[in-house]
Order: sequence, then C-alpha cells, then structure tokens
Amino acid sequence: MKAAPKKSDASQVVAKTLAYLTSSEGRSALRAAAAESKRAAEPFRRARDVAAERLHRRFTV
Amino acid sequence: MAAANSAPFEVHSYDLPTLIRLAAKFSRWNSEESVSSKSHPAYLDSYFTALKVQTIVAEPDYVNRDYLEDFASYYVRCYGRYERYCSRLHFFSEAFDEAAFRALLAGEDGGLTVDALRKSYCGFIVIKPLPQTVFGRTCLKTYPAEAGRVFPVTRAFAANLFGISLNIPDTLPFQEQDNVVAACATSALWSVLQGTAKEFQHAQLTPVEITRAATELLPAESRMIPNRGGLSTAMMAEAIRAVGLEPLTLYVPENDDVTLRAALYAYLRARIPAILGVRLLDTASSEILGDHAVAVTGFKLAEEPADPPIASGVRLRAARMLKIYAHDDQVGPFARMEFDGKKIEVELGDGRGPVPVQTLSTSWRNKSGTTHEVRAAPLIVLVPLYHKIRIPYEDVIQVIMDFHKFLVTANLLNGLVGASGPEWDIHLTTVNDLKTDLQGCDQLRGEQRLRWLTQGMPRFLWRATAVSGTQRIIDVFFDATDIHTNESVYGVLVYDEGLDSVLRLIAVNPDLDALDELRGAVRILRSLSSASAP
Repeated sequence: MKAAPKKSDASQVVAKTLAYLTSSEGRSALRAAAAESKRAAEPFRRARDVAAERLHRRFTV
Repeated sequence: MAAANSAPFEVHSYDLPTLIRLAAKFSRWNSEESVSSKSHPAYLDSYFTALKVQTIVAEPDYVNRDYLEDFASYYVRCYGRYERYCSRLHFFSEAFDEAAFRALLAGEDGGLTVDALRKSYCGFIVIKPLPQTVFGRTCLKTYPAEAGRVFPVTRAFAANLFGISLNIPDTLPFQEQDNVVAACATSALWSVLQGTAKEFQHAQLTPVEITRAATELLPAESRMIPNRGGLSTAMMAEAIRAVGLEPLTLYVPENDDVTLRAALYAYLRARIPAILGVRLLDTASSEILGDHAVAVTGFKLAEEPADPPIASGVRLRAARMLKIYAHDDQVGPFARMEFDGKKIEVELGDGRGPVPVQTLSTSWRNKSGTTHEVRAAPLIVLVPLYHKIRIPYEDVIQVIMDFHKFLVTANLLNGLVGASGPEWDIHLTTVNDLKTDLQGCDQLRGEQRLRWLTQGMPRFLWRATAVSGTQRIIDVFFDATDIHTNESVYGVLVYDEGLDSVLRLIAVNPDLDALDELRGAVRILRSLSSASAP
C-alpha cells in the first residue's frame, strides 16, 4: 500500500479532487454513486414498513 | 414445612439417562419416557458434552420467583395439587461424588474445594413441577470460546448453593413455555427482557406478567390465560412498553438476509437481545409447522470479510454473520440457526402464495425425528430499546453509504485500503464502551487521544468504523439520542493523518456546497469543519 498524502501535499490533493468532483465528469460520477447508494439503502428503509398483517400475526408454535 | 422431598441434595455423575431421570423425578408429573420424548434432553446433552459436564448436584426443593408468580396467578387455583416448590439441577465440569460434596458442606476434608466447584460451574436448570413442560429458568455458560463466536448480550448471573456463591459469567436465562401462562413468544420475550433489565435497569417480568402486559391495552378476541393462541408482534410490543422500553419492529425482506444480519448485528453489539419471528417449514413434508418466536443472543462471524453484499459495493462487517445463537424454547438455550443461503418457496400467509425466501437452518426435529429438515423463514425482528435511543439504523446506513461512495468516487482511499475497499462495522454503542475501546486503540495517540477520551459524549451513539485488515481508517459517530431532523454528525475520527488533513480541507472548501448529490457525505464532512468538531 502506498502512503496517504501528508499534510504538505494535502492542499494539492484537495484542489485536484475538487476540480474532478466539480467537473461534468465528476458530477456525473457523483450522481451515479448517489443513485447506487440510495438503491442499496432502500431495503433498510423499507424494513420499517411492517404490514399490519405481520404485526398482528400470532406466534403460536 | 411444605417441602416435598426429604434429602437436601443429591449428587450424580452426568449422562443423558441421568438427566432425563432427574427431570422426570423432580417434575413429579412425568415419566422418563415423556421427558425423553421432548426435544430438550438431546439438545442439552450435546450442549453439556461441549461444556464437558461431569457432575449434577440436585437441590430438590427450590423456590423460583418466575414459577412462583405463575403458580400464584394460575396453578394454585386449580383443583389438582400442583406444587409451589421447584427443584434445581446444578452442572459441574469437575467429577466428584456425594461423599466429597457432603464433606465440603460439613467443613471436612473430602478432596473437593469451593474453588474447584466455582471454577467448574457450568450453570443450572430449574425443574418445574408441571406435566409436560418441565424446563424452567435455565442459566448455562455459553459455548466455549471460538474465533468469531460472539455473545454480546450475555451477563453474569449468580447462584447460591447451600451458602457457596457460584457465578455464571456469561449467560442469558432461558425457559421452556408452559403452554398455560406462557407461549413461545412469552418465553422469548422473557429471555430478552432478562437481558434488557440488567442493561437498562427495568423491572423483570415473570411469564404471566408478560402475557398480561401484552394484552392489557390490546385486548385479544379470546382469553389469554391459558395462553394457547400465542402473542403477536403488536402484543409483544405492548409488553416491552410495560417495562418502560420502546419497541422497534422491523420487517425482514424475504429475498435478502443482509438486512436481517445488519440489524441484528447493530443492536446485539450494544448488548440488546432481539426477538426474531419466523415461519417454520418442514422441508421433508413441505408442511408449515407454524409461526414461532426466538430470542437472539449471539452470532458467529466468518474470519474473512464477505464480498460486497449490497448494490453500492459497501462491505458490511455484519455480512460476515454465518449463524445466530437463539434461545428457542422448543430446542434449548443458544441454539444455532445458520445463514446457509438456502432459498425455499414458502407460503408466508400474506395472500401472495409461495414465494422464494432466504431461510435459516434450525435445530428442530420434524415428525420423523430428523434434525436439519425444519427451516426458518424470518418474518420480523423486534428490538426493545431504551427510550433515549431515537435515531434508527436505516438513517445511519444511508449516510455511511453516501460517505463511502464519496470517498471511492473522489479516490481518497487509494493507498489506505486494498482493492476490495474498506469494511464498515456499523453498530450501536454506549459512551463507556466507546471510550474503553478507544482507550485500548494503539492507532490513537497524543492530543487527539486525550481529546476523544476526555470529552463529554451522549450516552448512546451509533458508530461506523471503516476498517482495512486490522487497521482502522475512519470512525464516524452519530448521537443516537438526537432528534432525526438534526442533520449533524456527532464526530469523525480519522486515524490517518494525511487523509484527515485532506478531508478537513475539503470540509471548509466552498465548492463542497455544490456536491449535494451525496447528502450524507456532506453531513459528515461538515462536521469536520464545525468549530465544535472533536
């Protein structure tokens, strides 16, 4: 593994990173990432929607 | 003097026939045949083999509060003569006989010492004086330590045997339903509330008190005691409210067991046991056995990280979960249920007909006596939470997924993690557990360490740690007691100095405002730029 950027290099890394992220290519990549993230979190959000039938089903065995 | 047995104790070498004989004898209502026809003795025998049990000490007359409440509420008013006294069987991995035990109690030298008894103590089972349902309050040591096997919800429970204080360092009480004042859901909830009572300091309800609390504000269409109809999730939720906790109910998607594993992992890690409601199916006969509730007490994780299990490419530590350990009142304590990836068509009773469901293995025996044919299709998870734990898991995971995607898209983890990316360990924790963990962390040093260890923190926090191998990359903390409309993050701890510098510079750059696609990432970055950031 290569070393992470040190403090002296940090400004350069940040400038480069933000330039990419604010470019049209970067924005497009962020939009795709956001869509993937939302899709992946969907089952966790839906887990709170418990159907009334399941809430009132008796556990009898 | 109402004791039904004359000898104050009995000592026996352990084997399965002896266990069955003692359970039958002390239950006073059952033959050895009827006890051996139950599923518990065989399960307990395999469990005791794992614990290397060699000796049983029986206390024939023992007063058990849980049974006494049930007795006072129901059995005492039966015409039949049910006993108020239970018996208790203690299990030891040390071999000794009655003469040695008698000498110890008499203060004579018989070769057995109190220290040896304490060191070899494996726990106890209360035998209830009832027909058919005999296994009462049971506190047994967990399975021996093994890599990846975790029982976060277990606690130390004490027993006193003729003045000798004995300790079970890691257990959670179990008992079999009696089918009269308690059904399976009652027994599962009783175990869960035994754990939360210690964690959150609330009253310990007995089985009959749970059944009553479950229906006090939610009257059932028919009588609840005798409890032949079981409890619903809504009823269990009412019983949870009765002890001052808040029920969190989660639906388990049938085509995805990652959601189930993630939720169980997140809450169990905070020492909060959970109820798992399942539909049982005998795969040999395709017969649905019914809906059943168990108390989830632990889990086993794989040694290696799982492949990215979800669409975002985020690897969750919870996805390593290979099996859970559950108090299943029809099997025994710490019964294994395995995530073995078997999908089965199951009629879930919701009008959709048979649907493919990710199922778990069980230790149930089907009608032909075969184990591993009965599968469990998860239906719901019910978690009893302290009222101040307000922020739910799903709010946290969305933010973390956004942050992960931001780090990957911005290429900021290159050189810090391998090609497969970091693994996220997301769980609820407490301020004390968090500080204890940070105190033991070699990666945290100097002023940063001092600041994190000495600052005030909320009692409950959500913690998401990005890990690569044994190295921590980032910790993100959320105040679990906060209101959900507050979009702030409690704190971010970046273990790598270079990455920390980069993230802090990005956090104060005005261009950050333009990156509103990954809102969760912006929330985390903003917390790094705020004046109060730890």
